[in-house]
Amino acid sequence: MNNNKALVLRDGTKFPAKAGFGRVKGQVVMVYSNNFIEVATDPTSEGLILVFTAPQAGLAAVVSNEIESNKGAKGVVFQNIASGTRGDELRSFFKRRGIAVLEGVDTREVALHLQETAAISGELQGDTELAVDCKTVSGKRIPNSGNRLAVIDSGISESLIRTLVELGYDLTIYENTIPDEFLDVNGVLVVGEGLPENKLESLQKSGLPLIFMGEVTNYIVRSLGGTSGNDLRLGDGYPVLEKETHKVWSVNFRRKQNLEKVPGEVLFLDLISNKPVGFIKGKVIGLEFTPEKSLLQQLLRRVGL
Amino acid sequence: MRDKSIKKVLVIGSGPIVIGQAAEFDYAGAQACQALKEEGIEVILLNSNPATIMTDKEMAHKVYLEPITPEIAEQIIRKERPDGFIAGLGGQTGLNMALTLAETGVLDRYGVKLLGTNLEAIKKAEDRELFKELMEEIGEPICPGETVKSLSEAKQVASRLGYPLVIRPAFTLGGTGGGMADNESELEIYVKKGLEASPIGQVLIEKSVAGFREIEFEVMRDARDNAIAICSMENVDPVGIHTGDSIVVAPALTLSQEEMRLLKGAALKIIRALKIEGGCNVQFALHPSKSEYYIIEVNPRVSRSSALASKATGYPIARVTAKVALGYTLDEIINPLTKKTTAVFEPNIDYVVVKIPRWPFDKFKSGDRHLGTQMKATGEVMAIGRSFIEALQKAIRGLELKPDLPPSTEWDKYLQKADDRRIFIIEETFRAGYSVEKVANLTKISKPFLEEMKNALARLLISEKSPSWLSELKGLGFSDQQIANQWQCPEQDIRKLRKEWQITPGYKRVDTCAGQLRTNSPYFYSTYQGIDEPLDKQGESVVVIGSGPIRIGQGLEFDYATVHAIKAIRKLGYRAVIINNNPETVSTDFDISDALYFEPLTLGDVLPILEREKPLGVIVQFGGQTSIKLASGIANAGYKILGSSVDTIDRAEDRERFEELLETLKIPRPKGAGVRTRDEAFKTANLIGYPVLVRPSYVLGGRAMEIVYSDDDLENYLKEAVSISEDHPILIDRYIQGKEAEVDAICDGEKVLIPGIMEHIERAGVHSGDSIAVYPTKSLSPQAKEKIASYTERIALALQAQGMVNIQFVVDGDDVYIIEVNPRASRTVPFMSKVTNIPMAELATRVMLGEKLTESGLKPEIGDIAVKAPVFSFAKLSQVDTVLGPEMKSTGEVLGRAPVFYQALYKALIASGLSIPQEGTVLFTVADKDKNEILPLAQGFYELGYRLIATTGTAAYLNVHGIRTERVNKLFEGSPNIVDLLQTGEIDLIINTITKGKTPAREGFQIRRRAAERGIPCLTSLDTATALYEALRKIQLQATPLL
Repeated sequence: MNNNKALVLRDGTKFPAKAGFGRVKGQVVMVYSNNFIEVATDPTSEGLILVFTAPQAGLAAVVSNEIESNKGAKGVVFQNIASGTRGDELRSFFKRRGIAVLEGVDTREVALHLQETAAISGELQGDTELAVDCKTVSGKRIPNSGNRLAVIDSGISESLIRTLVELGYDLTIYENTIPDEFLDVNGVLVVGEGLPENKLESLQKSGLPLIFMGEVTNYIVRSLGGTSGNDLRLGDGYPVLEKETHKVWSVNFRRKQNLEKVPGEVLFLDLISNKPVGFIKGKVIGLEFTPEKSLLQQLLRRVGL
Repeated sequence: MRDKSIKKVLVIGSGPIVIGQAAEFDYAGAQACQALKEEGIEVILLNSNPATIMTDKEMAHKVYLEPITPEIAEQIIRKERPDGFIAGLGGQTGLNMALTLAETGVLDRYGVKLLGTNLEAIKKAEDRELFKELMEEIGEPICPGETVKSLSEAKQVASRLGYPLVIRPAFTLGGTGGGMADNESELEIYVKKGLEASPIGQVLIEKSVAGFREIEFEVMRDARDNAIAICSMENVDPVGIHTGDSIVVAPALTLSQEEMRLLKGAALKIIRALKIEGGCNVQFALHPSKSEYYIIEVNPRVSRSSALASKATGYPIARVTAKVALGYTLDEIINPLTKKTTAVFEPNIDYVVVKIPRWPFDKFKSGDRHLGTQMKATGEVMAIGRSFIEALQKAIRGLELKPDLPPSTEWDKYLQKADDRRIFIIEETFRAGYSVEKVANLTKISKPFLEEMKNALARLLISEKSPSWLSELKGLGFSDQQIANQWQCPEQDIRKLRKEWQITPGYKRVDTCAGQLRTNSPYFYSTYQGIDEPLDKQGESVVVIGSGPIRIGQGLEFDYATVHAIKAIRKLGYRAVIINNNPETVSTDFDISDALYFEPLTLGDVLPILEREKPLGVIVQFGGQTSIKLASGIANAGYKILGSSVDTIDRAEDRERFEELLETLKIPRPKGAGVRTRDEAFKTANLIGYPVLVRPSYVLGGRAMEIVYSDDDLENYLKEAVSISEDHPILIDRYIQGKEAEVDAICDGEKVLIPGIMEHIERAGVHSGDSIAVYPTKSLSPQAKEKIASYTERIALALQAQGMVNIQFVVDGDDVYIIEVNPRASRTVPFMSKVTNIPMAELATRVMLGEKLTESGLKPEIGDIAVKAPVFSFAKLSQVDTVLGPEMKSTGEVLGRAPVFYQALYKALIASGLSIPQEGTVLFTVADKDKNEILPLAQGFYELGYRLIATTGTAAYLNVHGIRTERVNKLFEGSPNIVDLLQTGEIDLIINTITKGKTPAREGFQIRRRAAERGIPCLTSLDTATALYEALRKIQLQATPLL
């Protein structure tokens, strides 16, 4: 094993790797799902070093529609990448995107080490420079036959856009900006993080149904008098309880902070921490997660969309 | 919340082990019974299989070890009046019983509620037509196909769909009767078989999607419609090979996210549409290169796949299913591994699991080894690693097999049409330079899997020998032995190098959550790709080596004893550690022991665990030949073998040393000798006089054991046997045609306890595992029994045995000869423990840990008459001769108990699935040497009102002796002949003995095979036939005139 290649955490703990490239520093986050490309290219992952606990990557093909955005993680760490053609394709993909890679790391050990702190900064030490070759994507208008939604894209995934289109919504996507005025729309969907907080007021004044999803939910919670904590979570298949119906949904989290106290009524509870992960207050819904298609439709309908 | 109105529940097990329905249902049933008892439910259990943990008295409030028939089930319901009945835990047997009891109105009549999945859901999942309608309704694609109830309908469907086609019988197990037809003649064969196999006479004719990827999802749903996916599994072998015969990987590894979501979504949609409450398995065929898929099958119950998924993820599917059946929702059920999350939390796994089936073709050399839609494996191994290749290599060595491969000129053929050796052939083709493309084209196995195999092999072949390279190879899953072969040195040299270079495995926990939560899970696997997780060991460890995959000769009975040993160790306050690799069994339930290591049972895999655990000692007596084989290696490494020493084992197994012992003790055994050369063999056989019994030493289940009648037979035999066991001599004994008897005893070095003597119905020559055994003995004289007890005590003490000893005898009048001594637990331990109420495995374990027996000698015979009958899986193994002999062929066993012998026997035969005709036609076709012996039997059947038919010689012989018998043509004598009559259902029972030794007469073989395929009882031992006749005579009400 080449000891030059390793994941080194801020506390000095070193996890040797067998192979890798790139050298980056950032917040180290465990990912417990195997949708490597989706998570690595999700806007929420920007700046992070993602450590995947899935045992082996690179046996499935690299598929372009799994790419969520032009943003993404700084580095990715794997237990194993397959030795065959698809493994090579995966390595090349990350290299092209400028994402550093380590493989052959005991990722379970990293997970156990990070358990107490949840997230810690560290350095991914590969040993080659990266040539970045990323294509950018631009915002778009997607006409459709259903209700018209303004989408404030502060890091929306392509899959969520596809789901909204499948549900028939007519979308107008604003990238990282909130227009002063919404014309001819039935509601606003705000997704991602890094929203200018002073614009929230204008959103609320619009009187339109508002749905917040992901990190941005914390801004609206705070502006409505709630509080948030620092529990980071990225991953798929987490069970949350819908309080009214007692139904359990399996959802995907892409959050850096968690909700502690929410305004209005709690809609969903995290079954692991027992903390709220969704609320409704009037025509405002806030969710920490991305709901699946049928739940998304149900929630949009609930606020008249 | 739990339905409080349910206070008493009936659970039905799956009965005997047969191909397609094995130990996984003991695991599921035991888990479910415990889950119900935890809730204060009174559990009533019906199962006919004595070798199961679930039929232990403490598992249920009342255990009925009875045949699983509608009549018996109704009797129990009438007597016990349960509030509910769970159908989904007893495999297809349990499910079919639920349907029968519901449809005949039994459940309604006695107010028994079907808990969990309801009747409508079962019907919709199982009935091909209803299932098709439902799938169409919810928009899920199924293969184009139609259900038919006759051959002519099938032909019409075939002309519409075109070939190739798949034929799937409804309501059957393990693909029984199904197959793939490339043309009309094959269609005829499979449709006929399928219609016969289906209890409702219905088969589905489907367009074949052979070559598609086969993906499975285990899903779970509660009554509130919460549904989760527990595990995805990917078959390495493509569609076309039954999933039970496929190498399976979990989680699915080669699917894109879109494909995963598509299939997972479909699986959840299906379980919701079917309204299943509990676990369910959904199988998909997925196009090799695009997202087109079809639903192949849905099992609305726990299954072999769910047992695998439970062990693969740590999520206890049967336990959760039982709780859901009581009304709990998933979020109300605590996950016992994490103790923090609930059952609604989808398991997350950070390792790769590989399952490989274990086929019986090391025993059935003449059988058709090809794999298709009908399952042929008797068991399976599972291995866990940090990558596909590490897990695959561990699984392969867990099989304990090194099959003879076909010549290289035939490899392409075998790659294309798989048999049980394909994975071994793939390795050879890569060694020979085949490309991945070529192998993928021939096998239709996904390239990424093949690339991993080829690349790993390429690394093994690199000649570097360094610490980093050895570490690399170990990380790829290669065993010390494989590396030693490549580096051309003994295996122990690699072990030494590993120690010197500090290359040791790490042990990781299976925790259902990939380390997201800190757990104290006792479930471990090894990897050379990571460091050890700390062991929170409390107390001294005692390690038990398990018996590995279920195979003929080493079945569930060994797991039963293993589980009881573990329980005894825990009772005595030690830390009980189990090493095993069989996902179907109770012993690999993490709840059973203090630590479970899911590892191959080889020295290279076991020793590092011992180094980690530093046990007080290791128990090898309960894992059959698998663990016994490891004893000397373990002892040589400096670990203490608890119980009988390696020397004791060797004295019992080594022919010459054993002869010496018997001579010293003046105990007779059939005259014989161990021979090492051909010349010696012929000389010895002629000196003893034919017939002789020949076998290789160190075997289990009578593998390669035969009665040889002449020099020619011996010549043929030696060609095979010597190559099987070249390191050990061949044993040649005089064949004594007496009665066989058997004991299992416990010895503490000073005292010997003999719980009882079993008598076999069949004379010596039929393997003890295939014989019907009776307790208490039926016809042995007091003198013979006294000798058996005396010999047992003297042998056990002389061997200085500690723990279990099994001895088999042949009894000729009052003379008793020793056939075999096994210084370990045998397959009769569960049977005898249950019928004598003496917990043998527990007592033996206590002895091994230093306790002394409090009683000794032969215990008085107690209780009802108990009959243990073998169960065979011949219908699934085409080209396998069903004739009984010294080599074991049965896959399972059942128990019949009653106050009198013939009732007990009759019950056992019914439980074994033998379809006993109360009237009809009996065909006699016997060897000349047996003609005299069949006279009273034939007379008896005739007097009971049966019509007798026989071939020319036998018919003439019976008629001459005044027994009216009709003549029937032999095969070559033209139609209608025997096979025609079998085909038209005109024969109800066959009594058939073979002419001589090994070579099956061509016609006899055809008759036996046809009978097996049509489910017609065919008895090849006159002793079995006589016992059956006596049973029929005793249970039949006979009209007799006044004298």
